[in-house]
Amino acid sequence: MMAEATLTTTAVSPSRWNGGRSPFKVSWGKLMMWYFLVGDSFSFASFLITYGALRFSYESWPAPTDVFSSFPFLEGVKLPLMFVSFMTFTLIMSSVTMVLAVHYGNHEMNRKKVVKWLSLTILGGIIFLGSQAWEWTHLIVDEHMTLSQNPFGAPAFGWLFFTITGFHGFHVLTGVVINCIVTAKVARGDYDRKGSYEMVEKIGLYWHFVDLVWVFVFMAFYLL
Amino acid sequence: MSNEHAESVKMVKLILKTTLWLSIITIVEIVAAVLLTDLFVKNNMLIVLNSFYIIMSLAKAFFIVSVFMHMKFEVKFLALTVLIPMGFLLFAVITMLAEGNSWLEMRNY
Repeated sequence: MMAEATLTTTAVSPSRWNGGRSPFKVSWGKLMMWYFLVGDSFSFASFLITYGALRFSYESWPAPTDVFSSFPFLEGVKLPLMFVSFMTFTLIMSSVTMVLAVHYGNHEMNRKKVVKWLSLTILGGIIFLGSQAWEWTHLIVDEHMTLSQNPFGAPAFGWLFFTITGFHGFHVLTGVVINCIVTAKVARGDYDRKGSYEMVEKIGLYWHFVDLVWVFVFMAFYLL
Repeated sequence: MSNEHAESVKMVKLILKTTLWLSIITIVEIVAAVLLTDLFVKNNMLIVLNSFYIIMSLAKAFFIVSVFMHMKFEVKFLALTVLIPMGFLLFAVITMLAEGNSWLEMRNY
């Protein structure tokens, strides 16, 4: 009797906000991942805005084409921005492989394809981290850049570069670790048993966010 | 089943098209930074080039969020609850850049 009454009410007023279903048509986990990313984008924004404020406070700022002009195994050759272009493409491509993994999980529940694309994503993340390790080593060992001073100009440049790319690199690292765990769970068949590949989608959101942040870190340090 | 398959193929095509756009924008940005910076500095027009980088980065962000993160296919209210808070950042950018500029004036004083 009671249930019938409720049904009639829903039929009369089909608002999404009357309860009983998700008004945003998403699961709790996915919604919370979105809101976590909102918070995380504020952390990155505060870093980048600090960068902007300090940069505006100096008369001159190191030119990116001078600072970032080295390439591994090619000592003495000036190749401005070429190595960071390689890093950027690695990250874009790993985002593409991730979106394909999410796609084949949601649409086909195809375990083999998901494992394949997730593994390629992990590979892309590891290549990016390795490249960043080389770049840092080069700047610290060869150019003697530290947190408080650098040979290129404004002293704050080193502090900002290491903290911001470091914070981003740490996100990539945690992304790689989480991807490894989820790949293992996919391979074991956990999500087939559960009947949903949504976990791949949730870590996918995190991974794309890391790529998204790189767009702005790249813009701030290597282009502007 | 075949209808679902066609939809899946369409989605993969959209993903690849987005990838192409992201790559093209990035290549254009890098080419501009390497080849055109000196020219724009000489003519005191660096602000044009910098505005170009900012607009292109925002375009890349739009592509990543809407297609890769599927925001395009979510309920509009969900998108708004994520995007509206970002408006505060505009305020922070304007305030802090103006503040940085006044630090420069104090340094030179």
